[in-house]
Amino acid sequence: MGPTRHRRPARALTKGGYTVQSGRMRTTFEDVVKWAAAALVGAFLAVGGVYYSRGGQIASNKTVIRVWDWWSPAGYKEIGTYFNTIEHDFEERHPDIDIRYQFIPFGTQYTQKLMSAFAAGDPPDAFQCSVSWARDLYDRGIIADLNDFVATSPDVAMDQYFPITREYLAKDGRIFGVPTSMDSNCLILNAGLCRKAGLDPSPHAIDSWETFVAYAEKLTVRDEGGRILQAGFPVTAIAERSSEIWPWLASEGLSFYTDDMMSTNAATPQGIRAMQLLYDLLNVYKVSFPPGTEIQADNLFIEGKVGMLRGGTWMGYEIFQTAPDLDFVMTTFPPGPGSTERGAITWVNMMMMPKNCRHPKETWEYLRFYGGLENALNMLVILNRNSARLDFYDTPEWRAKVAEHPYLAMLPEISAAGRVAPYKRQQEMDEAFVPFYQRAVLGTMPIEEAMKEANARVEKVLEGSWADQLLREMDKRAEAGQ
Amino acid sequence: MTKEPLKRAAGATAVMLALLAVTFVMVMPYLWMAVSAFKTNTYFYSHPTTLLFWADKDSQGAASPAALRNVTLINFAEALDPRTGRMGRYLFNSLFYATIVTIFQLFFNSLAAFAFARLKFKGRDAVFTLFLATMMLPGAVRLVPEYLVAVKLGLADSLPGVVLPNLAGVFGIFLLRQFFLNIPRDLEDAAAIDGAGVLGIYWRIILPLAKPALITLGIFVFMAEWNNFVWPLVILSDWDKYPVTVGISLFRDEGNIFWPKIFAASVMGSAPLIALFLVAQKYIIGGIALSGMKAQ
Amino acid sequence: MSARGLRTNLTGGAFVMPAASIIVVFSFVSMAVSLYVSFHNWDILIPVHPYVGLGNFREVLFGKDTVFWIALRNTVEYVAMLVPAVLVTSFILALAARRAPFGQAFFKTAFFLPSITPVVVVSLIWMWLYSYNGPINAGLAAMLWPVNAFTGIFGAAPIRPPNWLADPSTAMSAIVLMSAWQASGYYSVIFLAGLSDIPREFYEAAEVDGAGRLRCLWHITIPLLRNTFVFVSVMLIIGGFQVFTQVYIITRGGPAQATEVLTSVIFKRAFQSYGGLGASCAMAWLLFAAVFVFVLIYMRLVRSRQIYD
Repeated sequence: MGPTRHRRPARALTKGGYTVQSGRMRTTFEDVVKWAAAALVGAFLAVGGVYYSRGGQIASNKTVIRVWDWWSPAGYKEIGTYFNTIEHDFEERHPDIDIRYQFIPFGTQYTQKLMSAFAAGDPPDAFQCSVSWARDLYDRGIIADLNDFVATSPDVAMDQYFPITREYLAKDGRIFGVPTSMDSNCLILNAGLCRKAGLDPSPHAIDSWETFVAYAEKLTVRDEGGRILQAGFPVTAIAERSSEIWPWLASEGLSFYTDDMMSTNAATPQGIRAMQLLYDLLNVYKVSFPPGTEIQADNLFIEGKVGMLRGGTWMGYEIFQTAPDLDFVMTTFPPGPGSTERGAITWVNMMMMPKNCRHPKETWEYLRFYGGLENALNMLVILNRNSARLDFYDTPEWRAKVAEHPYLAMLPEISAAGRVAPYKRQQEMDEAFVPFYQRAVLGTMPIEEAMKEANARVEKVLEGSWADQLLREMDKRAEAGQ
Repeated sequence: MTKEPLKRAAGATAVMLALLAVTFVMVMPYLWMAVSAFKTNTYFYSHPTTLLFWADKDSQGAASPAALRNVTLINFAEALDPRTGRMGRYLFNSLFYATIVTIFQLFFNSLAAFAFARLKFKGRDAVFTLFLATMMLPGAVRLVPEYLVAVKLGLADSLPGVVLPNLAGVFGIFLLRQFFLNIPRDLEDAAAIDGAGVLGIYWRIILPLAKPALITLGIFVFMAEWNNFVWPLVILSDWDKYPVTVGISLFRDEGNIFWPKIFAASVMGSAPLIALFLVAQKYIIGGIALSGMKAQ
Repeated sequence: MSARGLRTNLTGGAFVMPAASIIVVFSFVSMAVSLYVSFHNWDILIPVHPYVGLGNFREVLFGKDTVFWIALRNTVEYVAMLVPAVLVTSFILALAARRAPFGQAFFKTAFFLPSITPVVVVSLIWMWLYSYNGPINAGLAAMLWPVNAFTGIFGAAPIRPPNWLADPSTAMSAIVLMSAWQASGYYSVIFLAGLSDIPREFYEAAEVDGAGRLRCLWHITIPLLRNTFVFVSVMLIIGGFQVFTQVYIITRGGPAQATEVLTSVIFKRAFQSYGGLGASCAMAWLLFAAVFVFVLIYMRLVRSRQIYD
């Protein structure tokens, strides 16, 4: 294994069989392996580069509309079918437009990416937006007003939809969104468990908070040690959001925010009663699983361990997928002591267009198609989602679905009874409110005090920062300038 | 004298037992994830923590081999389906990005580390400190400016956009510098006497001797790029270009997260890393025998 | 300067140039921008950015409802607990892995697995482990049972295992344990590489001199691994100050802000509030200053040296 001699004698310095020297050395087996590996990697990069550039969306000479959405085919297969269907239908009717869907994961990732794109001046042409962010984005003046477009397309005018749509999609008469589907918080009953406990699972059977508590107690099953095996109504104590209290305020006839969106109704007598109910359910009647970060009420309901759930009207589809034998009923929350009407929370997510959209006319064509009845029926048939459109509920397709799944019959009523979800500054509000909600429901702070403190904090959030002041000034100047 | 082998055997057994215990603790979450990837959605929600399917009891309370009915490959099938999970494409993308980044980082970082460890030039320590400082500012505030830079350079939604910011890394420079400092100068002096230039010393002496460090760094860089999530998320919009990390995060909608599918995709997404590590970790063990030096 | 001096500088510069260009364009520029932003009121979505000088810094440091000091305290607590723990365990793991008579590859891969396991999975598992009725508490309860039985005779109330993640006093320790679990394997690989670099001759010579295992460890291994220790500890410190994902996923900073770390506050201010980017950058630079000074002092004290001179 000696070194070959060349121009000058080389010193051999050995390390574990590997020879290092400053002259030329004979090729060893290791060298062959090295060169083969390097060649392999090089080949991979070369071939891979070609394959990589082949994928991706090919340039097209049509007008390309980029649409962002978090509904991704990876979640539900049917979503792939849905997008393919509407892309095909739309592009057939508009041969000069090419729709490109881009899927972004929901949540912080979606907002992060959206904000970065706006900051860089590179937003998509259309994107789906949750009510949690929509108004704040619009307030910042980066979202297009759709009034002129809507004027030319009466089939997507605001009067075509449930009245509550106006609350979320318009501000002072300026429309900035096209509705996607309508979702509501509702009370879901496990009908099988109800019948087993001798209770009537029909939608209007629970007519007051007292009846509700009675149901919850009867639906709670404990073992000999007192551990809860089946919860009558799970109360999420360690929560990330304030949504636990919204329906109970609704059953008292109030939305979470006051009408001017500058304060909450949590510290009102109704709010305090609602919190008291939650506290009692958790600590006095003990119809809920004990507080813990791992409790996920939705999953437990699907597992069949929960009698009544604060759920959503969109959950039907998931229940069919995961627990097809679960017999459930969706209904509104019973009226509270201060009200005679049943309550729920309803909101409408939407598609939006940025203000500096590169192809506003073409994008509007897509949005108009998206908000129309045909697309609503596509969403129903393929995705089991219900629309905010009023005419939707008169169609044969809807009636067929209701015949197939009777729980759907309650959806229009639930949506109509819906109060407004707090859509302004939702994340910051939750951060301010939730610690006090937790203290109140766990009993470490008196309810009234906690709610007053929480309300004060939320008021500060809703007042806004320097940015909101600036926006108000800019608005005033714009108005004055006109 | 006869006690010796016994003592050694006892010592070795103790070490093995301890190692096995630690291994179990380290491996358990991954194991759980891998097992759960084979569960149907329904079964996962009703039995999230079951590791052994057949140890589970059915609704009658009897141990049931029919529980094996719940073993399914559907999550893997859906994850690989090019219309939904698309893991095949994402795996390729991740492999592509990670390979490019690793090669460049090994090269660029070792050049810089060599300079910091061996070459004397003005401001060397100051520049090194500045490099180190770039690691100390949280990524959250750097994200938007970096994205703006990338967009202004025309790199949005492109391969260079994903890869360019990571072609060099201070972690790597730092690591290699520490290793280079460990290499005895005598070898270089010998080579210098033989007439090797700076580049020659770098290429012929330092790099070969730092093989364990280079391989280690290669593993780390590959892994870091493979696990990179926020940057590809922000710079890319075309899902044909998504790496595994972003692709996996699509297995959800607003309310639900589809755990078994995510697990199946994660198992597939991490398998290459494990394979890489298994192959490469052998090379991290070397052993320096400087017997050649004594002959001087 | 002499021609030779110039050439040395140019050579050095040339070697550093490729890495430097990437780092300058993508790191320095973004850092400079964020510093600029910290002196303004800045909303990502509004084009107007009023200059406020040190206003953000003042608000963050001395403001009425500022969460900065709580977050700083939590972060320092986290680093102080994590760094020694990981240094020790990863070093021991590396040593132990080398001493295994067989299956070294298997063990090393096993140690590495936690850092490959996706963060969400790790968080899920640990949330379950730490749950009040979960396995950790079950084990603790079993261990405490005899103790409680004994003290129960005297009428003392039974000691119960804590609700790890819901109790402000234990939440941070719980997260540190989880992070240590993940990081030990990762850094043990670096120690393994360092250990393999130590010439066998040293040990052979020590054996001839009659030195036992522990003395070998203390007088040979640890000193020769000095540079590796420096690297690992600096990386742990810098990384520890920037811990984010695990905390965000598991506790979101709760309960009662017990696990609210600086990076999580910075992130929330930047992306989950409107108009907070300036304050967020101010906090980021304060964090930077703290880490920078700390690391500078640390590296002065533990000067990396040429080992074999």
